[in-house]
Amino acid sequence: MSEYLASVIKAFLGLGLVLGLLLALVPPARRGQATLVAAWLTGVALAIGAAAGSAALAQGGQVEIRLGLRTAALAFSALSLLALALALWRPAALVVAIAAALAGALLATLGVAAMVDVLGRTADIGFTATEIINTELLLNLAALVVGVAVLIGLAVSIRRLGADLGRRGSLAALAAVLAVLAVFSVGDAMLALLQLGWMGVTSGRISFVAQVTDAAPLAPYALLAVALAVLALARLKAPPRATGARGPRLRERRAARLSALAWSRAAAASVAFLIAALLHQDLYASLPPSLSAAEPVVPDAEGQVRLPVEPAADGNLHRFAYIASDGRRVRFFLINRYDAEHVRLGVVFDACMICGDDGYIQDGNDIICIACNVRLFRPSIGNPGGCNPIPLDHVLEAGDVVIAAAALERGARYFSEVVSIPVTDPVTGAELINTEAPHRYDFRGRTFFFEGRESYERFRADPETFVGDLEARRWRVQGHQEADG
Amino acid sequence: MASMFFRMLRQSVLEGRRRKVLAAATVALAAALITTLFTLSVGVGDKMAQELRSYGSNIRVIPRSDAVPLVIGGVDYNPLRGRDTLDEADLPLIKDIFWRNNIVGLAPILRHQVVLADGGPQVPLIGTYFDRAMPIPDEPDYRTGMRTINPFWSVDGDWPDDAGIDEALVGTSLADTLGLSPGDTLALADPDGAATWPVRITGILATGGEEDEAVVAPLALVQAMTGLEGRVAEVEVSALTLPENELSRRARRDSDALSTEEYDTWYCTAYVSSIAHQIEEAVPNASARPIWQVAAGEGAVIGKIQTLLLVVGLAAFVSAAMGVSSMMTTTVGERAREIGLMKALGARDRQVIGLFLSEALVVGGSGGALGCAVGLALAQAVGWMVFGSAIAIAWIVAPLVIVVSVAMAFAGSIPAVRAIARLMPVEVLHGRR
Repeated sequence: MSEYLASVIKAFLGLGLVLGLLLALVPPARRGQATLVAAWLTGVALAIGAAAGSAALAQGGQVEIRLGLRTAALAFSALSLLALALALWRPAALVVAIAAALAGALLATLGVAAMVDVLGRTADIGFTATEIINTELLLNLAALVVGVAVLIGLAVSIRRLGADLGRRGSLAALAAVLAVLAVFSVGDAMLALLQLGWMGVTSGRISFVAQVTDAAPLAPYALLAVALAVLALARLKAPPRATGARGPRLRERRAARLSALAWSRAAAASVAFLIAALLHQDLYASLPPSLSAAEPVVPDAEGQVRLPVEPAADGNLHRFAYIASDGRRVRFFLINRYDAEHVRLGVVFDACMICGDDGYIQDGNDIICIACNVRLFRPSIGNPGGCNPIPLDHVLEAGDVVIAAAALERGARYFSEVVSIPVTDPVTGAELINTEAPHRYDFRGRTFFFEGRESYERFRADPETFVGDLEARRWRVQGHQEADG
Repeated sequence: MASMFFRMLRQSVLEGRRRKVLAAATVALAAALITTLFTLSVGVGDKMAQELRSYGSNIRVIPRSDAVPLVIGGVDYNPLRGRDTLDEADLPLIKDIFWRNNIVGLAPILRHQVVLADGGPQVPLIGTYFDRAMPIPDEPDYRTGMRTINPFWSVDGDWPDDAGIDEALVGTSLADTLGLSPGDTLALADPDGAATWPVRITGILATGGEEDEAVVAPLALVQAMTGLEGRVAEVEVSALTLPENELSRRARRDSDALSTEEYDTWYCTAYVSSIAHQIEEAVPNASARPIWQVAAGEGAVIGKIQTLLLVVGLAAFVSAAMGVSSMMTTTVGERAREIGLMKALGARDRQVIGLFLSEALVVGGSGGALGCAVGLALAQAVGWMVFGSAIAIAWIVAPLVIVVSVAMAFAGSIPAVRAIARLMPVEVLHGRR
């Protein structure tokens, strides 16, 4: 439900603000008529967007459509801003007509783009599991209706507040909104160009696109900040408490003040609702599940990790972490596969041969693979296959699970997380920090670190002389192998 | 200002009370009807969504010849139905597929009709595993059977021994009819009456399904009676699966239509359809289908009549709106002078309209709340009469119906609102209209 609310807000917020501010720029006498025209135009644009978006989802071509829409939006934004400024300065009939036409084109482009956008955002979320009316379907529908209603409310109150603010203020606010939209349009258009291969790939372009894409979730907040600024300025410009006048004049002024305050309260309420809905989605609802803490383990003098069976027999997932020689953090867990009377421990790496090292979490009685959301059949944990965790070689000895450090080292390549630890240069024996080492070299799945170019080259030429006959680490692509195989 | 508004609203609502109660009653009637329809539909829809979204499902494996549909006019004419069987020795293959670790358990089924000794009634006999050892390479001491895959089966007494052929369970309804209790002995005979097989009843079985009317015995006994040693008619498999999504639905329609990449994703994801597909690959001559109980039963029924429900709901909506409409138009007509006075004193159109719409809100809201309560009770009554059980109340229906009721009242107020906007103070105050 909240996903739909947030998707609608993210897609349509820009359109709503532009619509409100454009109408605020229309002279009061023609505002009603202009609102009607704009509403029809937006409706038609949304319908076209819906058709284009679903066609793109069904047959591909999203990238081209996105590129076209972003380019058109950028062009119309710049042109209509210019024309509007000109119309404000020299309100000749022709200039005003051109400005109105360009503004209409901008509105239509943004409408189509918003619809395509929202269809793309929600394509992978199931609106309902079945066509028969059910609670989930109704809640998602309600989220859509509420989101659209609040955005319409915001557009209407921005129209009024923008008018209170004056034309110059409204135009400045419109420029700010279009600037925010333009930054992300440029980023998106460039990404589309790179994807289509119409623009050469350079590191500078990739880095720009990456930064813009990274900041894209902030765009709705920036737009809401502009709305808040309009709100605050209009509030400052609201007619002061009526003094001095008497009779009807006094009541007229009081009514004007009350009306202005009521509009700004309505706008404030919509903005607050939108911010709350976005924050709820971004900071809470969309977060992936997090792993429970892993208890660090260090091998003893014999190179073994000994863990008592007793505490692990309670049926919960007991996670541990071992730091491998090159700083890789190797997670594994112990879990009782049966009940308290029949203790049979599964001892496994916290990684999946298929899905990688996202890990497993416990939710009530279920053990879940985070990456693919599959529930594990608990008695099968410890067996290879399917989405089961990768088994870890171990022996049971006097009430302890004994795991050789060598077995953990063998599986270190299943994991990608690296922590900073002191390591030694295998050639010179110098101490250094792994994450800050200037040179590194992978040999049989292990990473070695070097203080300088010279020792790196010497190692690379003949690694065996420095580290001897090293046991190779395993990779996920090798698949499951027989124990000690 | 706000308190003034509420004072006016109270006055306005109390004026012409009888008419408003009547309008509210109209709304309540429509709301009750809509509540009943929605409760029935949403209850089934929720159950179906839950089934499709759940992380476990059952798969039925049957001989391929049985799966050939040969249904003409609702009657199955497949001549091979029930004639072909699967090999019991192939069962461990099901635990050897790619997603073997997600197979929680399996139980074979072989059905037969028996006569309870001395010309007694003919009853169904079901042979299956209860909790039987089935060694597989990964787990030499793997055990499986109905106790694993149907944890909600309850037995009053003991479970029979899978190894023997002289113990059985009796379904609870059958036991009631025949007055049987654990420890009694039954003589099962072929309908042809060739031989009888004495069994001791170890317990009374309650499942809520067809087993309540049957004798349930170890598979070996039924195989011996039917002469189908080492054969089974079908296998029920319980698996941990991922909810269906668009990809799996497409794969279920036609797995050949997927692109290579999609096929790999589908095959390597624990959808019930991909697990069923892998079982078909592993077991010779088998066809595996997920069992969607709700989707195939109540879901199919509601799915077919859903449009009808919506049309009936729409009709109720329109008639209630017309009831409200006549009430509102009369009120506006009666209070034309008052409205004219308000306008003459400087009230804007939207303020006057707001007053009347608030009145509609009160009428629609109260009618909706009342109708919702009545409708929920009505839905329970329908549930008992039609399905013989209480209907789960979906709480989403209450706010929905109240919103719909208010919408009815607003829709009915449209003519009144237009009348208010058209009304000229100078005309009504002079008494020209």
